[in-house]
Amino acid sequence: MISTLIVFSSIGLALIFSLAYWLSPKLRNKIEEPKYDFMEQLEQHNQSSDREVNFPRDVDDAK
Amino acid sequence: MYSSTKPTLTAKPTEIESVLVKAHSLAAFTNLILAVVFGILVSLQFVAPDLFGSLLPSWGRLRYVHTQGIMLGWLGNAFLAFLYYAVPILSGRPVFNRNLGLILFALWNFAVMVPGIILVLMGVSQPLEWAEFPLVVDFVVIVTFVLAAIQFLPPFFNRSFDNLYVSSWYIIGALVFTLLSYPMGNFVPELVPGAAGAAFSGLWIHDAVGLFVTPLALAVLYFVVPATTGKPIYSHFLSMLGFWGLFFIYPLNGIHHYIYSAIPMGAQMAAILASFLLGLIVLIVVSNLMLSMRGAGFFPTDVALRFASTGIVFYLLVSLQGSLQADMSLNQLTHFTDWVIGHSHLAMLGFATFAGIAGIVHAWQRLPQASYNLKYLNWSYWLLTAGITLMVVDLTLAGLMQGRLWLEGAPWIESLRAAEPYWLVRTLSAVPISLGFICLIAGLVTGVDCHAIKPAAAAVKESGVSSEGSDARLGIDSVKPASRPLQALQLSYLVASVAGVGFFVLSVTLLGVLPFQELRNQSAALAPAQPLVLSPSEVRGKAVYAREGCAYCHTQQIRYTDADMQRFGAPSLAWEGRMDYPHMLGTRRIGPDLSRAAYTRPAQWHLAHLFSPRSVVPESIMPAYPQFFEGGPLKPKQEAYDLVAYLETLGRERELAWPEGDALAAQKTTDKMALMSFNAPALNAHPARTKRFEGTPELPEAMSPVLAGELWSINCSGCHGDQGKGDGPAAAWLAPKPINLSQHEYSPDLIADILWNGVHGSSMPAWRDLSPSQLAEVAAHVSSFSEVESSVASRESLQSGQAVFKTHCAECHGADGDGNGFAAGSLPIPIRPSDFTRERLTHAESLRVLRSGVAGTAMAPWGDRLTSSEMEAVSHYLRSLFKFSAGGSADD
Repeated sequence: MISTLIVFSSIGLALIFSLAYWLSPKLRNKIEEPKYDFMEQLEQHNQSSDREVNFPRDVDDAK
Repeated sequence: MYSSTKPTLTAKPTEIESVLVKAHSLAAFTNLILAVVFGILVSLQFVAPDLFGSLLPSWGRLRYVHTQGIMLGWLGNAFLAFLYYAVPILSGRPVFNRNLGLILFALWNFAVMVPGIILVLMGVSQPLEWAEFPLVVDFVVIVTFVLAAIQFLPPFFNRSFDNLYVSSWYIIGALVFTLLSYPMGNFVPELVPGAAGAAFSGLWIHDAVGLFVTPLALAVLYFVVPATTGKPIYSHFLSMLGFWGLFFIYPLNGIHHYIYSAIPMGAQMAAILASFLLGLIVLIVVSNLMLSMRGAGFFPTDVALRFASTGIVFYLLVSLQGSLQADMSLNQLTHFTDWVIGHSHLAMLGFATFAGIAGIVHAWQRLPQASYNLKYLNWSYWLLTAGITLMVVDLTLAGLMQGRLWLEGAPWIESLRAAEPYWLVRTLSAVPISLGFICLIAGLVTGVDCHAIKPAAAAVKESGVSSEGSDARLGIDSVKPASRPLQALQLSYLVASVAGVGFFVLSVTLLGVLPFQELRNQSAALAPAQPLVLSPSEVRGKAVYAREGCAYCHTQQIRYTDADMQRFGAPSLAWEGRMDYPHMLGTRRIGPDLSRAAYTRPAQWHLAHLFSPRSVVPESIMPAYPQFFEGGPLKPKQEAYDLVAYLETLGRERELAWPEGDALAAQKTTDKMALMSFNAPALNAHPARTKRFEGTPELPEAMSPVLAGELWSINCSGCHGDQGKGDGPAAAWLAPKPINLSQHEYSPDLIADILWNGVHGSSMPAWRDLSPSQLAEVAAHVSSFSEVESSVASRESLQSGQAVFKTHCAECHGADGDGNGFAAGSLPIPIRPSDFTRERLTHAESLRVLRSGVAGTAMAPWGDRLTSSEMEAVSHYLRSLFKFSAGGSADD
């Protein structure tokens, strides 16, 4: 059944992907890079904004 | 081609269209309140069906608006609001065009939502779950999705695949795949009939959640969690694994909405397998998100993060629930019950709404000139969490209870009675939910403006992330990526992207196109050679059925399960719906399945039932349709005639060809499911059906007058009245009228016969879903009403009466008065003549019947053909024939 083939192909691809991730530090770096880029993007956005986000973080602050 | 570019620090902030963020947020809230109001109106009618009378549009139309209002109105606008905030940050580029944004906003709200809602309330709609807006609005929806793709995709074009953050992937995936799946789910069922069309509908029902709502919700969560914790997510690898897993596997799930239907079992099994795998994938996604929040606590201080956190929990629960309910055993129990409604609310109101709120609140906190009231937002969180939890738990328990009663073969009305307290709780849960949404809105439109100028350097210290880049990344060596892994990763992402689209096309082929072809071939082989074409009235009636949402309470698919076969009859074959564009299979049973409604109830019963359901079935919650009548069921408008005409077509074609048609078709196939249907014990096993006469079971002795009274009240009083005088609320609308039981006396075996088999040709149904002990109680109650006096007559009177009887009455009532005269079987009205050996009237009632006849039967008035003395004599004679028990003599 082709659908079963899709399911098991997906599992196979996931295992290959996982294996490559585990075995290759360089690949690992690359795969994880976007999450740091995102933090940098956030930071750049906050830095380049001329306004501070200063919303109350708990009820006492809001008083 | 695959340059690894990153956005660079610029003097100006990445431009965020704050106006559009706010506009879509406010539009989201407006649609949300509207959809919630409609939802409350819908749920109120479960507990008080006559509360609104004919003030409001029908229940089905309100239900359609509620569903589309939540999906497109609330969630669509909420996610668009978030995209306007998030995409510039993720991509480092502004969205495509502000003016395009204004057009998109206007189209989404004023060319989709407003006309969609108005048209649906006017009765212009599609009876398809999550696709209720009419086709004309669907076209506009597709245009808006195209515009959304133009608006939000180009900013990502400057980035290579390998550099995209997971939220970006989800946004791209949602916009691309929704464009593919929306037309499939909204247009194809109009072109592909019956079960085959349902296969496509099933794909859309799941794709709406899995390829539109879920990706955008996850995009929000993957954004909000790190943005508020100040830490990157735990693993981008796990997030990508989850992303590809979801997009590969989600499209395969859809047919799990039609397990045990006529859709080929191969397609069903594929969907079940994919459903289990999806549960594993969700575990990966949720684990990653939970680990990303480590240290933030279960109830984080930041409100957006708290909504996100709880949304993640809801996501885990609803996904595991979904995987479980695809299991065939559990599915048999829960399908069509309130469990499914609880599941859909957990998904849309729990997971997706909480994610949407997290996105809006997070963005709102960072917009210029935006208010923020933490107290209201806190209240919002707790009220919504409590309300949604209460609703979902309540509906899940209700579903389990309903499913158990159905599997046990309990009378349908018992499942309604048992569900009443659950429906009341569900309605009450609207209180905290509504208050929660009100507090949410108040939290974002009242309070302080939370922005001030700050020096740029402070931002670095606060976020904890250095602008230096990779040196600050913990645990990962800072090395320049080598070319081979980079190329391999880029290639693998490109391949996966193509594969994702390819798998979607493949899933539609496997689970839509191929089943369609198989069912079409099966129909060609097994269906009658000439389809029974619907008359214009029946076609109009089907349109009424569709627009009033009848398919949302009544299914038209008898499943291939023992319970369905016992209660309804032979499982539905695919060809039985081959004329339904779109299909009417249905996804919920509040009322019973209607696949075999033809020849089950007389037209008068249907008309009375449509006008005032609770007059006929006192504990029914079916909506009334007085608007189909000119003041009463004796004056139906064309719509009422048409709807009844349509109901009389359901199952008719197969019944007319039965049994020879089934026998012939059985020889042409080896398909196990089809053979299961052909070999079912009964074609139509509806418990109320009078057309087949079965041996009456032996009734035990009645033991409980209290139970008898209760059963009478639930099942009989609507027609026969509380005191059995034939004066129930529906009595005036039926011909023949319900019997005045005080004027009749029956032998016990006749009462049992009538209760078990009904009175064919009248509105008196069979009561085969009551147990023999319950029937015994009802029989005793019937007998208790009788005020019939003993027969006292002279011999001369009896002889005179006998002579008159033999001359005028025997041809119908039989020479012995047992109702088996030679003309009895060929009367124009199929109600059999009375058997006076087992039935006795009072003298007064006998005279009345002789004088006036019985309207709705073949018993003509004899007042102008017999003298008073002749009628007196006949009455005495007939009453003398009565034998209380078989073998007894009159007046025993």
